[in-house]
Amino acid sequence: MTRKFFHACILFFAAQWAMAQDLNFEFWFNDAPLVLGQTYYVPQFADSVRIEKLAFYISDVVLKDLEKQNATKITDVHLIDLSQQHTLVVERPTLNHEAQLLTFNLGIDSTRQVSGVFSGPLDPTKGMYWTWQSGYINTKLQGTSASSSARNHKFEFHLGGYRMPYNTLQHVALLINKKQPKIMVDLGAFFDTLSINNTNHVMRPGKEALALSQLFALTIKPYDE
Amino acid sequence: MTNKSIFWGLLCAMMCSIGLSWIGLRHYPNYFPKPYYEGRMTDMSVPEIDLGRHLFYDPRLSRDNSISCASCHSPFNAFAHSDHDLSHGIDDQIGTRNAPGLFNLGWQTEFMWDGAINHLDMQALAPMTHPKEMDESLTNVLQKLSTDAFYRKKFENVYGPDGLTGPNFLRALTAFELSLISTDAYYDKVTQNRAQFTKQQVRGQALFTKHCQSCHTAPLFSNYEFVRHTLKIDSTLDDLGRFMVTLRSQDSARFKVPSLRNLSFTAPYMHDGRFHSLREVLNHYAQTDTARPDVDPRLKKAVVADAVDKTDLIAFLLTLNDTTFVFNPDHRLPYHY
Ligand code: HEC
Ligand code: HEC
Repeated sequence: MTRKFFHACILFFAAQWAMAQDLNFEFWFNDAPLVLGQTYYVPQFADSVRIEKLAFYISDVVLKDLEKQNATKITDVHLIDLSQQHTLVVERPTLNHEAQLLTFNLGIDSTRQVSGVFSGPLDPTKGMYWTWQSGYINTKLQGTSASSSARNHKFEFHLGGYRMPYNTLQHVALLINKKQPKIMVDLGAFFDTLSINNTNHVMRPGKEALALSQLFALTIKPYDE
Repeated sequence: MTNKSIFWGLLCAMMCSIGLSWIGLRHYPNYFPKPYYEGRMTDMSVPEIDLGRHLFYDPRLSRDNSISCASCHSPFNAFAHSDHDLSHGIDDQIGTRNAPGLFNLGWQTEFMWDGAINHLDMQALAPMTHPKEMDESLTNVLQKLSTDAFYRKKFENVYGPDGLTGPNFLRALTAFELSLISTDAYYDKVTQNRAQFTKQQVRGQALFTKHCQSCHTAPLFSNYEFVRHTLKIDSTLDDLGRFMVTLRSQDSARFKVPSLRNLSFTAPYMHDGRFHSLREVLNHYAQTDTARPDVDPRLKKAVVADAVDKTDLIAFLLTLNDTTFVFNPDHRLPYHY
């Protein structure tokens, strides 16, 4: 009996430990956890924002040990979709080195963009592919905002484009906590900078898509408690 | 009959069928360049092409099951849209561009008049989801097809269990489209010493080489570059072509050089179908102002003004018609319907 209990305990902690090793994405709106469909206040513009959809690609995710210069590829392409809880965790293999630096691309690089159809996260039925013009939508962010002059106060950002000079791929590098590899995505920072009143629809590649992609990349931060 | 002769008989039959399918899929004359999609053209199988062919002719790819790819790309028009200057889609809506012929796609790297599509796999998504063309989503189409035992079996045969997926759907269409190879025009027969040009055709070919070859490069009769033509922008369409893809001002009003194979089947001509005969096209080349700084300088040399020369040039262009291709029964509506 005690032995069984003892084993169960080991299993429990092992599982906990393993889970803690995976990369977890957490979503925030300033100080509050981000929940789809909930309204948040934007003090900067005395505005309110409700997010209905947030999905984005990360690719070529690598963990590095800065001292030994060891690097391990965690995954090629991963689609994070806030409406699907299981996509917020990126599994990571056991490493034989200390990992301090996490690097990845926000979006899909130009080589993958021009290489035809793929299965898995890049399957075009995932709704992250433009159809009238080839290219993945790197980031989809949709919702409503009191200040949006568009129909039903909507805002819609489909950010992408892989051609120069408007290649929207963003490189992200974060120093992470070894035991708790959490990544924070804080949309508060995005809406504090962008005035929805002026910009509420960006649906194609170009200057605006690039600027918003750069802005979106700044919402991604290491987790500090 | 001995076991041995049965064995050799079967082996021969197998070799022949493998050989035939190999020739059928990737054979092209030795004066053709290496196709960009050579890998895919080598890998694709007869059943995969056949599956793609069924999809190409299937109106369930559209919202109300009324329009198939073939509605705008008819085999008898070298897969262009006959009689329509601008394409004609669902609910009788008119698009903004002329449907081009579909052949020798494996030699192209970018698709559509402006190259908006960067891979053949991804092309079908454009007409399927366009509100004026088929107005349907890939997910819905897969749903519709999955209720049909015929497709479930075909997808499984080609791609294995659970084969009916979006990526495989697109790959099958690509396989069929890559099989549309036009290499048997009279021009090809002459090049392969199987026939001879008339004196008029010889004169026409010389004119062509001098005036047109720089863009409509043999043997594909296109270099597939994006070029600023002398065509005036149609103010009802305001189509800026390549610019809309690259967003670079120098690409304004550039369109892809079309192949000149099968012209007798693909009229009307140009990205907006503004010309209905080859003579109109040649008159345009001869009459417009090629000195404009925004126009491709090679067009200065594309002027053939003499009436006899025009007739000779057209005589040569007509040798690029490939009736073997246009009347190939393997490309037509499969009998399943
Ligand atoms: C409503 C008419 C219409 C339908 C239906 C249609 N197409 Fe097209 N197709 C066009 C037009 C018009 C173009 C040129 C578009 C452009 O340049 O923007 C085109 C272009 C293409 C091209 C590019 C050819 C090249 O040389 O660049 C391919 C390939 C193609 N279509 C395949 C298909 C397939 C596969 C389907 C079915 C899934 C389909 N089309 C359905 C009208 C149609
Ligand atoms: C500078 C490159 C260039 C040269 C040289 C050139 N063309 Fe073209 N041609 C084009 C382009 C680009 C188009 C498509 C233009 C459009 O639709 O906007 C075209 C279209 C055509 C078409 C229409 C084909 C179709 O399917 O719609 C014909 C026919 C044609 N050219 C014949 C000729 C002939 C004959 C010559 C020589 C007298 C010639 N071209 C020289 C670039 C060129």
